[in-house]
Amino acid sequence: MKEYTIPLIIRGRIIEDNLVRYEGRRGEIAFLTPDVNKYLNQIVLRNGSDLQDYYSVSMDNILDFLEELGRRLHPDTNPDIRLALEMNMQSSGQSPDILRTAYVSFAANLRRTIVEEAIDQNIGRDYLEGWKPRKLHDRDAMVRAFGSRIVHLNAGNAPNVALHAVINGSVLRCDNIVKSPSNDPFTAVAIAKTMIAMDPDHPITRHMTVAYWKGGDLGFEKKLYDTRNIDKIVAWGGPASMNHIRQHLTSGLDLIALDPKVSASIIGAEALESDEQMGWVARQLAKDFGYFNQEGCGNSRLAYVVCGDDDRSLDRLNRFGRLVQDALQALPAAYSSPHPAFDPVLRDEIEGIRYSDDYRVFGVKANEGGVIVSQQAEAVEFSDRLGGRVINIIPVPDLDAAVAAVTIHTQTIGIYPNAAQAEIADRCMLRGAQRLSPLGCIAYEGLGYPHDAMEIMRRLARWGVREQFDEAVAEAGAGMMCAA
Amino acid sequence: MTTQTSNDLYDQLEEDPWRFLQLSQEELFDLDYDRVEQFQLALFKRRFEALKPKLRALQRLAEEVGVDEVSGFEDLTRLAMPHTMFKSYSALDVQKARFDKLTRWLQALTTHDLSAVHAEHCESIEQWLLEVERVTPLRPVTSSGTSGKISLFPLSTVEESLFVDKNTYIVEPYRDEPGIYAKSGEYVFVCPWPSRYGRHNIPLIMRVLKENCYDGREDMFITLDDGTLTADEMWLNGRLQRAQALGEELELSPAEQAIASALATRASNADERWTRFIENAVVGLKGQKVMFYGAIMNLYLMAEACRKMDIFVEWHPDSMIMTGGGTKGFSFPEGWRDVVAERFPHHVPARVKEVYGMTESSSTAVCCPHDKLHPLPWGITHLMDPATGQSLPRTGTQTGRMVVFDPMPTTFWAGVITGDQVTVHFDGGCACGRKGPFMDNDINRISELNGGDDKIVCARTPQAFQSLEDFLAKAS
Repeated sequence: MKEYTIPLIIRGRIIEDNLVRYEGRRGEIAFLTPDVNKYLNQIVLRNGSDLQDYYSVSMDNILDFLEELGRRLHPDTNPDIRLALEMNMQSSGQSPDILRTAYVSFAANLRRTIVEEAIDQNIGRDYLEGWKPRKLHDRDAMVRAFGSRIVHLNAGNAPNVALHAVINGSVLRCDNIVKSPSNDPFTAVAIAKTMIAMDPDHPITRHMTVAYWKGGDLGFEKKLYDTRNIDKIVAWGGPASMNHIRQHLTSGLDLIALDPKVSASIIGAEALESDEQMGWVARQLAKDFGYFNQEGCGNSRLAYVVCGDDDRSLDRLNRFGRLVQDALQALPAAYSSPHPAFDPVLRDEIEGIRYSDDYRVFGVKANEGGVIVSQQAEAVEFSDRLGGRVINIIPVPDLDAAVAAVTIHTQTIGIYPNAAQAEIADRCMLRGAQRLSPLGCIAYEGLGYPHDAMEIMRRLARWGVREQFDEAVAEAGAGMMCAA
Repeated sequence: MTTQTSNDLYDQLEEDPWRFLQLSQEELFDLDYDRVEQFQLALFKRRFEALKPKLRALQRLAEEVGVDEVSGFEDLTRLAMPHTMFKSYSALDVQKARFDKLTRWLQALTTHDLSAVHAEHCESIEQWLLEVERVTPLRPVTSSGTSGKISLFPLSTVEESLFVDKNTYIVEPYRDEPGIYAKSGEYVFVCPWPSRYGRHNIPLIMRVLKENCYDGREDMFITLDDGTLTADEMWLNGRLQRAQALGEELELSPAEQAIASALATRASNADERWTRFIENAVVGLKGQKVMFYGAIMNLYLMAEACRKMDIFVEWHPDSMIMTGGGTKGFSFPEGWRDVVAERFPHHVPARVKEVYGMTESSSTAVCCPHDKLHPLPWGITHLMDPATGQSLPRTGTQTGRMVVFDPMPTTFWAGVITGDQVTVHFDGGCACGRKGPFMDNDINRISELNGGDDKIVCARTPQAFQSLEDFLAKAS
């Protein structure tokens, strides 16, 4: 087992003392990192006024900093990013090619135009740069978004997730404490070290702390999750960790819960009409569950296809399943590859149904991924385990039956044909879905709109209001005017 | 044994492996293991040849992996069925009461003719199983997982009695190790199981023991709860847990609501049930000969209940505790071993037999004083690489996924890929004196070996399902 030392980063300082040992996912790496319990007082920002320094720099300055940071995060030139990539190769569900693609994309994610678009669409730059006036019917008000003190409990299924905390935390001028996940223990550290190399005294650097502790470390978390120390927690995670965090919530502490989600595909009967059509749709579907090795919440896992239940229709559906498997295998290695650690329980489940009349299984012989075609309108019993590039295609009599399968846990739905999107959009949303996209495009999520059914930037900010009244109103008292 | 007698014996065992059951534990573990391996392989070949034409599931498996005939132990990794195959039917068929399709599914796994099963009037899985049992010798063993469906293992009356032997052999004395002759029927069978009857492995063991060794005496069996855990209840358990985990809607019929309500009521009276059990199994059996049968977790829960009631277990000194299941998957509090030892002062550790077994094989393993597990020698224990599925060598010490083959059953294919990772010492030589390969008493579930209990992802992943009892108690 390879062992690494992962520093604790506190506000521009790199700390490598008081090391404790942890094992990473899959038991292939171990890492030594400072015991956070020894540094709690330095990790937290007790006095909210200490965010004042952030307000001495303009948004332009912040955007310049982020763009320059992006340029410095290329794996060819940044040894820390290379190290993060090396560790991820051993602890994540991605191949080296995919990981490299992800790290190379950091620069694009931090490009000024991209971040500006996210700001403009999600919150409005005026609210971040100063007090924005609002003329109301009885008063003049001003509204401004202030930074808050945030703990980011990052997900580790894709390196890009580490950028969420960097982008949101910087443009909102937040004090950021990032907890690295065990399946990606170094990416956030590598980013923070790069910030330090750029400018250790910049407010972005001075308000970035990156630490690892074992999730559920009651002693530490009980002390950390206190309104004297932090304002908000942004948490990605499974039900167990979410329930754990909720135990800590006290009045005044805000949880922004990015609960685990699954995505799906809804495919109209048109897909099976011609061989040409079938091939094209198969290639689109393969992208939606194959890209980034189905590690993300945006990857499809269940594909509902409108199809008859007679033998001829099912034969055609099975042919479609085979085409999807072929298309999966043809995806470019930079975006999709055999899973390095295929779930053995999922493999058992699939082996169990391989010879059943109720399912057709294409692939999943080794770790190449594959397709399970249900022969009736039901998902496999183990649908919540689907991963490692395995999709379950389910025949449904009509689009309504597909919509009925949408739940609060459904994040994105890839839809074919495009025209069907408008037809089922509202019903999908009312049942819990959060984003509809053309089939083949769901892995390409933008930054300029809500995620997980919420506007995260707005949730991260602390919104301030100032107001002024006419003299007459002030004289009479605002409440009296209201009563009149 | 003279050489001639010995050769005769080996010939007879190869001819009919059920003759193993006539040997004592000492005789079994004194067999020449090279010879045993020879006829293990011969029986594996013979069963494959005999069952392949009769079992559609085995035919499809053999065709898929391209095996026409067995040439060695390594073929077992390809010809063993995944344990998940026993629940590979469609849940929708159960929900829509299409039990004729379930009959066809089950027919692929058994040589018994199921054509007399008339499922058209069955409205539930319990009714269908009753019909199957009424008109055929099949006695399916059911077990539930966390993902919804229940497994249906195709046991029949032909093999049922193996459940007597596999559970009585291993408590027999061996050399100077303590033991009892459980077939004598003089030991009260104490089992903290939440039902007395049903198709689960444990009620099945009780039933066959009762019928074969106890002249049907109900009073010789003490369980945590009376009554039957039906397949309908198990089915509903699975559905409720799955719906809760996935956020799916679940509409219960009035009949299902009644089942859920009854289960919830039972779940809410845990203290009362344990108190009653302790009264019957401890207070009522003071000085009597007892065979305790249950997981280590249950042994601890029983000790804890005794502690709360401030009493000690004072069974007859010859009583035996048969337990297993390890300590994984249950949060034992610190000092739990002390609680057990304190409350079972005459039996722990001296009268404890740890065992490792499974529904799929009659070759249960017994733990010796050197903490090694010895499988009863007729069953094949084989290993495969859990990642590649490749067969591991049958020499030296190997760690891998366990594949078993039981040559006793003649009506179903008893080659199964288990979900367990084990370490096998193939060259034998355990200090306890038993011949043949043995295993470390450290069994791990493959599903729990993937590491990373602090992994965070945004995609929904399998979660620790809340126990049904908790769920129902809250829902009630």
